Amino acid sequence: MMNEEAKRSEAEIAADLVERIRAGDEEAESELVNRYSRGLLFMLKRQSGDPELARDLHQDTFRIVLLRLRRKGLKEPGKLGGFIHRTARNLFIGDYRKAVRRKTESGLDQVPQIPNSPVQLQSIVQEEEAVLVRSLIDQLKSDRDRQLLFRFYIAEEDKQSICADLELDHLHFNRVIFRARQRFKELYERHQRRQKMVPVR
Amino acid sequence: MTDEQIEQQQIIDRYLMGNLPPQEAARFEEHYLSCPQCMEQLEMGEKMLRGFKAIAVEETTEAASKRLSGGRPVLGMGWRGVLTIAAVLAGLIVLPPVLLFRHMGTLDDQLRAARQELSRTRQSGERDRQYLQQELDQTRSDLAGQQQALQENQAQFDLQLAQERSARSLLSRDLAQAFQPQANTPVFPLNPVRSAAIGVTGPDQIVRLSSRPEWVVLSLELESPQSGAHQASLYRQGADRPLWQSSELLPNYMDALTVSFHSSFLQPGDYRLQVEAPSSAAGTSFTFRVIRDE
Repeated sequence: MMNEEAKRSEAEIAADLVERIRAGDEEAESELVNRYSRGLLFMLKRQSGDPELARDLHQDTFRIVLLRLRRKGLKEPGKLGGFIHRTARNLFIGDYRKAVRRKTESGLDQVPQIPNSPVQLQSIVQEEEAVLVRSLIDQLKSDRDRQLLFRFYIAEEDKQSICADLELDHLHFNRVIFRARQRFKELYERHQRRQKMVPVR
Repeated sequence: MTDEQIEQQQIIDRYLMGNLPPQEAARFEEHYLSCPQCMEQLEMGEKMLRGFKAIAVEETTEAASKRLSGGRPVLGMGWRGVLTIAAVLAGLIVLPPVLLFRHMGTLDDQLRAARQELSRTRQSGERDRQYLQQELDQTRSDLAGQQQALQENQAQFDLQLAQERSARSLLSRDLAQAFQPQANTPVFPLNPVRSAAIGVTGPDQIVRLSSRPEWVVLSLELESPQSGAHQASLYRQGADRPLWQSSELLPNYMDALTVSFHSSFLQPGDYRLQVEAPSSAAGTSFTFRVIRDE
């Protein structure tokens, strides 16, 4: 997250990158990719639900953005983030439309699609995450906090109704969610460290 | 987007659960593209959310298999036994999905009932809220009415007060003037009128007052002066009750009676001053018309 000061510097950084790329600085291109890559890939994975497609769109986005910056730069260089976001979304929408057209033309819309992601790996990851969440829940002292997490994350009830039912104020609700995320992060990082310590056979 | 907004409005969790309106989601995406702190929370939140969902699935499956494991044990061997085992195995292959679906159906029913209950509670709460809102509106409207009436009264009082103050100020001015020495005091000599002429025509003696307040002196010329106190009464023409009376008027060295009036006392119009001598039954009348300059 960023505060106002950091936001200003974000706009400045973006403007600087745009200017340097326009001037032909290759290092600035690498900096741009490093800065926006993680967020962009996350966003595309969420939108497409397909990691392979997300990676393709991610590459295409950077290709288009860099070409544009090299040739023309940007009218509002401080809004580089917004430009990358719009480019990625347009690519995703374009790809989605193409896929729908292909499906209709080939008449294969009744044939179930085989998911691109490796299902086995996905299920192992999910199992690990479930174990970590169980451990997180076991560590919660209050039954009310446990209920809160279940209703929020599984039943997807809204904050207002949960607070009203459990007679909680919004501050307490935010605190529980925040602590849960922090604790989960600790558990996850500890788990990652243990994984690294296992010798490779 | 600020840190505070993101934290307070649970933007990260709402985004991960797909509960953020599209425009807000787009704004947040634009923000987190270059925000490593948000990215970390998003990645961790996504993992946690998946973990919760995996637990939910596990627990539902577990509940279904517990129901299945309550079956009868298989007894005996031989063909019958083998057939029985085969039948049971076939049943076990076919039954789980069926039971799972049935169990899911039961869960669905329970969920539907809970939702209905929740909806009923919400409706009842909504009715209470509406009733309270109506009460509140009514009270607010009453208060507004009372406030308006108070404001109107206040305005009326203010007007009266302003009028009183103005009158008081005029009076104070007049009073102050009354105590001031007055130069050029107007003196109006009046002659008696014969009784036959009274009321036939209007008075031909004029008392002309200036527009500013002042004292005026009426000098009454007596036809047959007598010593001693005279009685005098001032009437508005045509009225029976006197405006002013005195029984202590004494003639001066010119055999005239003098009376002074403040000009505010003499409003424009016709007047009659009736004077009675101490030893005479017949009175003398003095008529005059008061005119005020604009």
